[in-house]
Amino acid sequence: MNDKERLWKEFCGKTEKELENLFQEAGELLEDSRREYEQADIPDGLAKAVEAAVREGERRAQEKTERYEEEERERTDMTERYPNSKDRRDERGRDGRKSGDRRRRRRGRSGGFGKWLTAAVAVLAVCFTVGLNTSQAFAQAAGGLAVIGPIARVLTFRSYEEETEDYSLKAEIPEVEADAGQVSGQTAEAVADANEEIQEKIAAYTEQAESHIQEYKEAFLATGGTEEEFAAKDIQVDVSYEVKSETDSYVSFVITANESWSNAYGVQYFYNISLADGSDITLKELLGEDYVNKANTAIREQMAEEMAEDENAYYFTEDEGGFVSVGEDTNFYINGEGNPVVVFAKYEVAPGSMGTPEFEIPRE
Amino acid sequence: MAEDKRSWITQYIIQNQEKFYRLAVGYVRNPQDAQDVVQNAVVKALESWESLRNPQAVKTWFYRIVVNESISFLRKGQREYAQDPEQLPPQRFEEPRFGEAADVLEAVRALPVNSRTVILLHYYEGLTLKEIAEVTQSNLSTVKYRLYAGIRVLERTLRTERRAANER
Repeated sequence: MNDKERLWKEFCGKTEKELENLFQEAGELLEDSRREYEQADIPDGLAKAVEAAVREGERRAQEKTERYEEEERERTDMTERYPNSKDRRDERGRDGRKSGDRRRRRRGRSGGFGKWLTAAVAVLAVCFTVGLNTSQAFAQAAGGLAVIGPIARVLTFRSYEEETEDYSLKAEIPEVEADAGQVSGQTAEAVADANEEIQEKIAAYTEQAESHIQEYKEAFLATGGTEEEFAAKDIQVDVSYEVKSETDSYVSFVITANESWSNAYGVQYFYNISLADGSDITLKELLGEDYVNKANTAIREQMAEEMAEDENAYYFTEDEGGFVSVGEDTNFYINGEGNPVVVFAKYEVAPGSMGTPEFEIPRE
Repeated sequence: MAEDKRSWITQYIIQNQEKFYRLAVGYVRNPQDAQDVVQNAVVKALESWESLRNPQAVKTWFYRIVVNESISFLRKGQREYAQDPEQLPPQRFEEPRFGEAADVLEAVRALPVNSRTVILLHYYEGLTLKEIAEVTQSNLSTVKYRLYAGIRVLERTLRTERRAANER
């Protein structure tokens, strides 16, 4: 038996009264060390440092409020998934808040605090004189918020468009923002890791897309095509995300990346993040021990139903390389009803004309 | 009203900053690091002040942020050290203090992090076990077990130390 088990057993053998006495005795023994603890030297700079942090915190709260409102506006504005790209760009321009702002702020956040502190102290004098106005503006902005902040939400971390002579790129990159006051440190860290992973995945994807397009262009030119003809193809690389559900216990969203010239390079990344501990939610957690059977039955039924109703619908049989079974790696998101929706990649279980088939698995 | 709540939180933080600093030192030891932890905690708290639904809970709410920040600082530190021990920043050594009280405090600071949190908050910061359950978002019996385990480990450490001192 290891130390931990032994301690646990001992602990379980104690009555409430015994514990209480022990806790009290320990308190008496620790009394001197408490005084020692309270005498810790307070650094001279602490008050200034806290003051600077207060201002930084207030500034970020204000930005968050603005960003929140902007996101809400964008969500309501977006009737289609991709509105005319030109309009979209104009709207961003008018807003005067380009993606760069966000990127810069993010760096500030993850960068060394020491550096940030120097800057914050330097602007303290300025902040002070305008303090009254900004906090008024802040109060107004905050007053407009009818709801109390959610535990976590999925927001656009960065959105940008890029045009080269060979292709245009449009990307909306999400990040999960968890409220420090409401989640555990473990969750906050896991969320930060997930955000980092998202950045990396998307960066890797766009880099790969560039090289695909470069190869394609070389092949195109080598086989007699011209630069003009290639440019006329208007190749687009597109990264976007969709929030599927946000509750107090999880967030679920899907990132979709495409290259317009080839169906072969589309990918989707699925994120179902538990806010209790930051872990990835599994099908097993949602559907129970019997999740494989449950999901397989539901998927087969829905496939059969769809094929019976729609003569154009077709799913491969097992022999043709079609659906066999879900497993631990099966992709899914969680819909508004809290049910998992299994998503297959194009060509995975059906001809390309079927797109990326989705199957909702009822929990009951 | 919103403005009131926010300025009230700010006031609470400023008034109690030394407490938070001492608590952070209980985790990270180095004064500069502890100050960084407090700063991060203050920024995070104010950034998300709306999440504090019940003003009565400001104490446990803010302790939670400080504790989480401290622990996450420790974890990050470990990760960095694990990657490259050569790159360790030079530690600033505090002047060694002598006497039993200082030894006990030192032993508390060396406890496993979960037990340490409970002991620091209960005996030094005067929080009830129920409040600590709120701070650590765990249930009351977990808190009691951690406190129990912490006391037992402390006893053992101090006994060994004393024996070593006597042998010398």
